[in-house]
Amino acid sequence: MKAFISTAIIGFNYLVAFYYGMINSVYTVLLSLALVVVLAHIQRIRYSAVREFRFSPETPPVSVLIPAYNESGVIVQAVTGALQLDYPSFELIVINDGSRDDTLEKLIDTFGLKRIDLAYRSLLKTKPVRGFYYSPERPNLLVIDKENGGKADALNCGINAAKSPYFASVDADSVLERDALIRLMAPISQSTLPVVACGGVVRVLNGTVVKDGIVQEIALPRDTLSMFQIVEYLRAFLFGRVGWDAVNGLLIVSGTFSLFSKAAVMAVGGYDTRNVTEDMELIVRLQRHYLTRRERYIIRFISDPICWSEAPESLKMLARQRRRWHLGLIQSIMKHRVMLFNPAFGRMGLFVAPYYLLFEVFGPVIEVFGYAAVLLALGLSLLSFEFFALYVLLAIFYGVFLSIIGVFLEEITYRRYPTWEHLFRLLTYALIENFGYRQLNSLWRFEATFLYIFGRRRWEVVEGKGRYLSRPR
Amino acid sequence: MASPIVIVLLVVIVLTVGAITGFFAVTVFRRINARRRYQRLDRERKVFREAVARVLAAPDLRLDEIRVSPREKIRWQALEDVLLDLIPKEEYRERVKEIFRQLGYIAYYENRLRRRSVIDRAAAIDRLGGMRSEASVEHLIRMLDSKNSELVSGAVRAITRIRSMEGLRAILERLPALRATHLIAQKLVEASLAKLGRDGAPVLLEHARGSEDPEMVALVLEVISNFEFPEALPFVIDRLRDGNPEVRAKAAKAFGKVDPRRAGPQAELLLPMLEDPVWYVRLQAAKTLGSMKHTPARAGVGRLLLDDKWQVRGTAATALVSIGEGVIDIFWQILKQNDRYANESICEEIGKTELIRRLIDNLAVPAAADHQKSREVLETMVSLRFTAQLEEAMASDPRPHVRSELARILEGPPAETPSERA
Repeated sequence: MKAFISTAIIGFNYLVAFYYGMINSVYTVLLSLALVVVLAHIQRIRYSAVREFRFSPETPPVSVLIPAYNESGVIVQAVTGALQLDYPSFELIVINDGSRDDTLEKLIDTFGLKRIDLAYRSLLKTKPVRGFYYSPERPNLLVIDKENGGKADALNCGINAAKSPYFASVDADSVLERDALIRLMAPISQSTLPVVACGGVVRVLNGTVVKDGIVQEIALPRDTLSMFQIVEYLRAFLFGRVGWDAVNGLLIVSGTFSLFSKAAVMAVGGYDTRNVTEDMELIVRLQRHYLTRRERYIIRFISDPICWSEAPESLKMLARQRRRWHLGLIQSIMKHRVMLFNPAFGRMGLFVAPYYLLFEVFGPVIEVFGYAAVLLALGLSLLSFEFFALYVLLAIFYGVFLSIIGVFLEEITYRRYPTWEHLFRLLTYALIENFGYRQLNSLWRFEATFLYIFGRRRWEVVEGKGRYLSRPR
Repeated sequence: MASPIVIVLLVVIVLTVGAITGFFAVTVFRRINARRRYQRLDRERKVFREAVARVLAAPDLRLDEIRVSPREKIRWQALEDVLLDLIPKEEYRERVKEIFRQLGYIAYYENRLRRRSVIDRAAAIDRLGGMRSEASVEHLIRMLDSKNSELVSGAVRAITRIRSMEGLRAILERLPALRATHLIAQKLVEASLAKLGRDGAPVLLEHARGSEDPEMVALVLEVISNFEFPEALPFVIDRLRDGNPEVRAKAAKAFGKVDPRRAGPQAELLLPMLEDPVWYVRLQAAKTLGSMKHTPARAGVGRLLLDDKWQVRGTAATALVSIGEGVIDIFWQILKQNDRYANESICEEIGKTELIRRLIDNLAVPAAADHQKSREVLETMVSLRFTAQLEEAMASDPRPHVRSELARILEGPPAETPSERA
């Protein structure tokens, strides 16, 4: 029996080592791709035609959808900022999703809105609409008041009311850079293939100074948790998404800021209200839909349109957010499991979806059990301390390497954090986030796996945001 | 002797630590380097700004003071930046173009057009365009034949920035081929030509007159509808009956823009287009007639309120409101139809414009000609549950008579929510 246990522990250790090698190989490939792509992209931006599209009558109109639930503290800044977007033709639709605070009243008072009736058609079924608010002085702003049904339901309602062929979803606790929308539209304007979705970069708003809905001054926050998230977002967006985009293998674009073809989203039935990460599920469904029909399409991510979004500042709220993200990931992958290892879905079925299952869904489980197995093996003297130490060192150093690369990519490209203090703080946090923060993340994701298994698949609300958007400066 | 696996781990760790140190160092040194570079660039720009001002103030071009070699990268870039800042100013443009030529910038970037890297070539094209180098148009025209969309679109932009009519003709000649292979180029052509403004209009018109390609004609009509260009009116009128719907729609748009003074009395030419079989032609005709406030078009535009396409219905309602005069009568007649979708579109447009206010104001004067019709329009709105603004007026209007009228109108079927209505 003892021999069996020993063999099992050693075997699991080998599995963990192999798994770790595999996942880091994938990261290395993504990283290499991202380096090449981002460097080329940054050079191209210098002579990009994006500015020309501002004047083009052919630039398609866009409906910007902002779902809002209890966003009283931030909604005015978010709408003020969005109304200043540098885009030739857009309508802004704010969907008040049954807020229990004074979100709606603030919108009505600030923007001088009046109640109006519209010829609204509920093509995507949503919770009942209570009313529409409009002002002839701001004809491109419409506020929809509806009963609470969740973010996906609110977005579906916005899509029903949207009149443009494309819509962008933007979170209410976020502010867009003025040229973000025209830059996000660039792949649609330039591609010969139909672009059904396109994502931009989300950056952490914490620490910045926002005035009239525009980021006036970029600074780093004082709190550690926000700093960790800044490093994490740089890594995720500047090399993760860019790398996947390079191989046309995107399964996620952030719902905080993304653009969709309305017809494509309507064709797949809109956002799924039962999924806790409606943004990812929609992308997976779009991929599945088009691949099944063998229609030509493209889903893009580009690294220069920027949306600044507030990140949680407490461990409790961050845990909720990360559990929700992971739960949504599992839900999306399991719902579309027919794509897994299925050659009919091409690279998406053979590589991308399996990557998400094996490394993203199972990753935290293997990591947490891996820690336990390694420690157990060490305790039972099945593993030499030398090997254990090297193993842990490698894990940590590779993590540091990936984080440093995120900061490096930021430094050689957009350089939004201009001072030496910014740089050294980012590099320091890139180093120390691997000692505890990443493990904590794995633990939350591990928890989410159990929440999924035991059927507790509900949306965990992140409260307490709005500090940076609502704070008078 | 260490086991092979330990050795592998050690090697990987050393490589990883090396990479971390390397990237860390590169990040820091890059910033140090960039900081120095930009500081020097700023200094050099300042020096060159003053020197260039002296050169431009002198009666003849003496460039000794600002002569610089491409090998002195920072000084080369600093001078280029200073000159590029001056080129949009009409008074300096020609001299700055000559300075670029004499200092070798044009030759330098023309040479870079021969490089293998697409990015290098595209950047060079962009610079030549920025320098308004007419001498480089020939090179840029060659780039229009490239298979790479990035180079083609860059060349299109550069040529239009230079405002070269020779280049413009080359673009127009290649347009069918560009459209077939480079989507970006097609869209950019539209945006870029529009930026050319009136300067390019005669060449565009000449080209469109001799063209059998409907897409080309549509493009030209789109471009010239961005500014007044009276010479184009006969051509535009001619194209209102074109066999291609895209051309007809663009002609309807251009009709109201190129020469509004002379087009006004001829607006009835658009009336048959309100019955065009293609929806976007009807839409554009209604839009133009609305913007021209052509009162005789009321009935025709009014009929579009019952159009199959919601876009046309919405545009027709907006156009009618723009026409203004006698519009209540039209809405009143159309709302008597039994097309719920169309009626809802009409009610939405009434609600979004000042017309709702006029309808309510008409209730105040029972003897007014439109009193009864306004009342009936409002009753129809209530029957379709478009009640929000009426309820608000009932609560806030200071006129008791209006409030009591509104109360009677609102005594219709019980209200339902917009979702229930849908």
